Amino acid sequence: MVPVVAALLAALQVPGAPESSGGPGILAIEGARILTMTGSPVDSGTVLIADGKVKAVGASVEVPADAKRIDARGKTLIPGLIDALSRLYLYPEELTESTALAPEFRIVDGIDPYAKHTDEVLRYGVTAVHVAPGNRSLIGGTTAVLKVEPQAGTVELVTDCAAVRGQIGVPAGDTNSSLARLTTYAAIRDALLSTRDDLFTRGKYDRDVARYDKKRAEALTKAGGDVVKAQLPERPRKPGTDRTNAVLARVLKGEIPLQIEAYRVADILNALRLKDEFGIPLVLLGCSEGYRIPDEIARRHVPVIVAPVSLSFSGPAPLRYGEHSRANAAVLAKAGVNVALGVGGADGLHSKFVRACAAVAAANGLDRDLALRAVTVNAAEILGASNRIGTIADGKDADLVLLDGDPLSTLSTVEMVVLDGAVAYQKGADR
Amino acid sequence: MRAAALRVLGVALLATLACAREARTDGLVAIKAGRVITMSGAPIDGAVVLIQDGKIKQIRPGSAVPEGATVIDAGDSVVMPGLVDANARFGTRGDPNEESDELTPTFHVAGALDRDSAALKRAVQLGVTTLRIAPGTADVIAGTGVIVKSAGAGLSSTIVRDGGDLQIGIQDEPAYGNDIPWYSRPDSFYFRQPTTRMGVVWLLREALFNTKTAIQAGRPLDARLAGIAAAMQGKTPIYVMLRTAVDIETTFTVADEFGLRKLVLVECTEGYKLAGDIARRGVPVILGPCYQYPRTWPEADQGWDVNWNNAGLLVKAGVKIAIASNDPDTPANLLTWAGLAVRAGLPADEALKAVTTSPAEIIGVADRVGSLGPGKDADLLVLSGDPLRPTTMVQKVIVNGRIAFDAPSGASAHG
Amino acid sequence: MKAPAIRALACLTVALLGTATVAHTQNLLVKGGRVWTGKGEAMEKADVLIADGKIAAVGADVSAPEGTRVLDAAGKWVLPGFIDARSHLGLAPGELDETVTPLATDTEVLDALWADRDEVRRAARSGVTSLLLSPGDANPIAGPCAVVKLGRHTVLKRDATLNLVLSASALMYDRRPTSMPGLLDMVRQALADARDKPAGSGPLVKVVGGEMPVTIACDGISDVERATQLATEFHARASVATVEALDKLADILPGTGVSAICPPLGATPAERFLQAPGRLAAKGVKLAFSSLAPTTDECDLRTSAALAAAAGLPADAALRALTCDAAEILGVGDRVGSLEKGKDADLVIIAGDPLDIAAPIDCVIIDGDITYQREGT
Repeated sequence: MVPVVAALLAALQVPGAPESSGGPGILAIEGARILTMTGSPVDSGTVLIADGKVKAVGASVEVPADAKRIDARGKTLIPGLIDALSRLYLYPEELTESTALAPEFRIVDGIDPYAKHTDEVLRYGVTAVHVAPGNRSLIGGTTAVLKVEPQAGTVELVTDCAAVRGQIGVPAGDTNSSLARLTTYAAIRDALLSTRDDLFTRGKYDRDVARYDKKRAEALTKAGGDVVKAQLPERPRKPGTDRTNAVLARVLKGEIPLQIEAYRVADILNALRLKDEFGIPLVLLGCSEGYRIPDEIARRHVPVIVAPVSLSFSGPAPLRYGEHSRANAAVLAKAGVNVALGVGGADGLHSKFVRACAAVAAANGLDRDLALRAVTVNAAEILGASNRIGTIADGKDADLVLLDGDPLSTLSTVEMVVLDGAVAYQKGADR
Repeated sequence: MRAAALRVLGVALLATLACAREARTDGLVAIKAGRVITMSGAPIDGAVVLIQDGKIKQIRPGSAVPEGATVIDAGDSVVMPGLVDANARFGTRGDPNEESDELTPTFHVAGALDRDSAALKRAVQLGVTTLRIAPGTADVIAGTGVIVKSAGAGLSSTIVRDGGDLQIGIQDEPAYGNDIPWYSRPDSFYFRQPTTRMGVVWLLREALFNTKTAIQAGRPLDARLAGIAAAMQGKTPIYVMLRTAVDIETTFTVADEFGLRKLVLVECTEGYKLAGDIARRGVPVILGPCYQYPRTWPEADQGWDVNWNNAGLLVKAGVKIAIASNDPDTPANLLTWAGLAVRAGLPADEALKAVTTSPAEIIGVADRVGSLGPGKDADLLVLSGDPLRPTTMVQKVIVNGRIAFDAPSGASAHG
Repeated sequence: MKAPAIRALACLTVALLGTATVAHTQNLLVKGGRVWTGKGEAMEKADVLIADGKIAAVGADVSAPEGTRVLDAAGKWVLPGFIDARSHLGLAPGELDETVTPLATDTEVLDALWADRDEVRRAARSGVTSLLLSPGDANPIAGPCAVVKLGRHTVLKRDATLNLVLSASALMYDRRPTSMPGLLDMVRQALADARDKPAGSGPLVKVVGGEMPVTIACDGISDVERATQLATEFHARASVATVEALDKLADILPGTGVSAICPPLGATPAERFLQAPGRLAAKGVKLAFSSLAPTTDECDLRTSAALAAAAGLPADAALRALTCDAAEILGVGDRVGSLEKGKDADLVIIAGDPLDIAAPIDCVIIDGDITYQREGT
């Protein structure tokens, strides 16, 4: 399945040269206040872009003669925004397979490359979104991070396996069922236990095979190379493969995190217990009542994607959100938790409100710098995409947003969006 | 001198710019066509239709276009009047059927009109420019319909006439659903008369009888009875929903008993059986839905005798017919149905009349729509060929002088 | 339950909620802020003096009597408290509609208010100081609706508005009306009776002729058009609340005298919805915002105002829609909506531009009491 999907996606990608201004050459954005998210801001500097990547950024950067120069004096430049929980590119129906545990399913196989309104989301400065399977299954599959492309029919993956997504305590209907919580936790734990057993069995098999090879060689040598006369040992039986466990094995080995969608305190604590028991990398998604137990989360170094930040952007609060508070992100951050923000909207178009969500979090106590980091570099790190996005730095993807004022203020507007080194949106250009 | 010349140039420039804009109701629009079917005389080969302020100003043979007119050059296309759907059951939102009562003469289906509905947009694309939206068929006396244009800038420009008619049902459909379901409360309003066809007729006769008695006694009429009274006195048309020959005979019996005039029979599946009687009484018939039989089990089960040449036989006997959609939530492709009627035996010119002038006359808006002539509403279609051929495409639809649908410019099929 | 008994229960509820005259502890001087009064230009540096729950003076360098508590508002914006034009705050979801009778003109939703709920106590943090307690949309006519002050939950105006519904949500399968024509017939008949036979028509009598404002909930544009027709025909002071037809209101409402109540804009992200308030204001239509709480956070009106402003609604129009225009639409403009001498002392102090939702709300004062104060201020 994987090579076919990859080939399909490769076929859908836009060929290298960007069509809009900038061409295949070098782009230099000069004079802006640059918030790189890697250290101190640059009060007035230049970003040099070539081949879709940032080549250099700083107060004094040498700009080649043939570069296309964009005067950004008086403006602010930030990395492209990331919506850590989006439904963009997904079909409107709940994307959950009917089996309870399906970590081998990939959301990447269920996206709609002809999704509408991606250009509208891009215009608001959102250049990447994190999409995940639905939460009807206990473990729904692996999540992905996609770029927000201006043209329909184009899909660019940043990573097709950001995490394995599960949920605890999210009932099918809008009910307050405690039975659901018991069964989801037990089922996920069971799956991890059986994966661990599987890994153990595999490990044992590997060792047994090594021992068998050695013994066989010895026996053959003893028999002078005569296979018939030699007393050959019995070959150990190979254990069967389980696709479910194969994916969870990567979680157990710490290669990819398990992202658990949990809202209420009891569910969050259960998720944390999974981490305690299995030592897996864990990410909490949703975490509406996290502000009640910030220290529990902080001391286990579990990052949190807070979504929804504000019900104003996502719609009415189902019972399962528990006691929602707009100060959630602030309280968690103060306790030392690494926080990213997701809009958590009902449809993809809500992702355009990422900046407004950061503003709401800031207004409710989240440090302003952290608020901006929560929708750029922190989100990228938590989603395993920081090698490419989330910061303005040498070698990273050139995804940048130019604003005419403070990025957190809803009074500022997005003037220009650069995606993979090409100007994908310029205010006033397409009117 | 130079300043004056510049001023003249400026004015001319503005005039040219004005002409370059799309067809507007205030300006003069000229449509050049290969053939204009006016439905008020012989078709004209090679003519120009002049439109101004949403009305037809003139139809001129030839290809000369007056100064200052915005020109729509339709080449070899055929222009004909916009189609009139005399009994439509789409364009509404929410249930148009009142379940709590069988006699609702004061209910206006205009209250459910949804001018934004996808079905109306589809109707435009099919060439229907005027339609009479009928009330639901679940009640014995259902209320009044509303005549609307299928496109318009607001309710005021969309509604041609609200009310002024009455719809009654003389068939067994109003009796459906009136039995008490086992799980329902005994005092539920679903449990009421009528539960049979004879109950339907009884309820109707009772209502008419009460109205007649009240009129004769000189009593003041409440709003309900007033609605029925106007119809009884022949002031407004009565649309009768019926299917079988028995229904038709019953209608005539009731009509004779109460002196009802201005009847219009709707759907009238077995009309051909009593074509002579219908013609003698001068009652027009609105047919539809057509040419999809047998569709559902009631039609087969209840023994409705379908004759594909229903239209042809009625016309031959001298009945005025219209072909309408009459299908819940479904706009019909009236040109296609007219073509199928021809195949079954209806003369071609009658088929065209059945979707233009006849429905306009029956619903009482023939002074404005259904045909093309000076002073009539500028509702017309630009077709790629003979209207009755199945391969003909609707290229443009103009309602009240504005282009409501334009096929080549890529208007999507779903509006 | 008979009408007099309902009235008695309502009175009891009001008594439990608290009366309009509450003893206030001390006078307040809000000093040195950027004051937007709602009447005229904003004042760069001005003071607001509050005494006995009312605004005693507004201006530069207002002198305050001895012992007045001073709130330093330097560098902050001071505005009238926001007014939520349509809210279900404090009402349990099942309590919104008395559907047994379709014309429920004597059941007051105020009687179902559970003022002690957390969400109600926290709501003032959003800057909303008064809200209209609205029933659901399951009855063609329901009301009267009360305007309630947050904070001590006093009733600002008991029989403030009536709720009229011209959408399919008011249809039920086992109660009249079951069809849209039936709904229109019922509503039109009720309004005509109120006009022609006033005795025994209840609050509808005040709607006909415009004494009591009426909010008409609509689905699509045809519902809105019918609403404007009814408003014109019966000379009603009407406002239209719709989500689906929001983007087309600017084509229908101008010139009709009917106002518009915007739904929470964060839930309607398409540009054409965000731009709707700007288009309406440009054509002179009066606007207010609604939170439909608790479906949004607390009573979040600021997000709607900020999104609308970013999409083209002028800042001044946005602030008016939050305050004085909303007050006029609800018929309480004599008491709230602007910072003028004699009006209720309902204020919001924001550490920045009100339309910048990153700027936190520092303080909310209702009837002269500090109802919310941000930690650290």
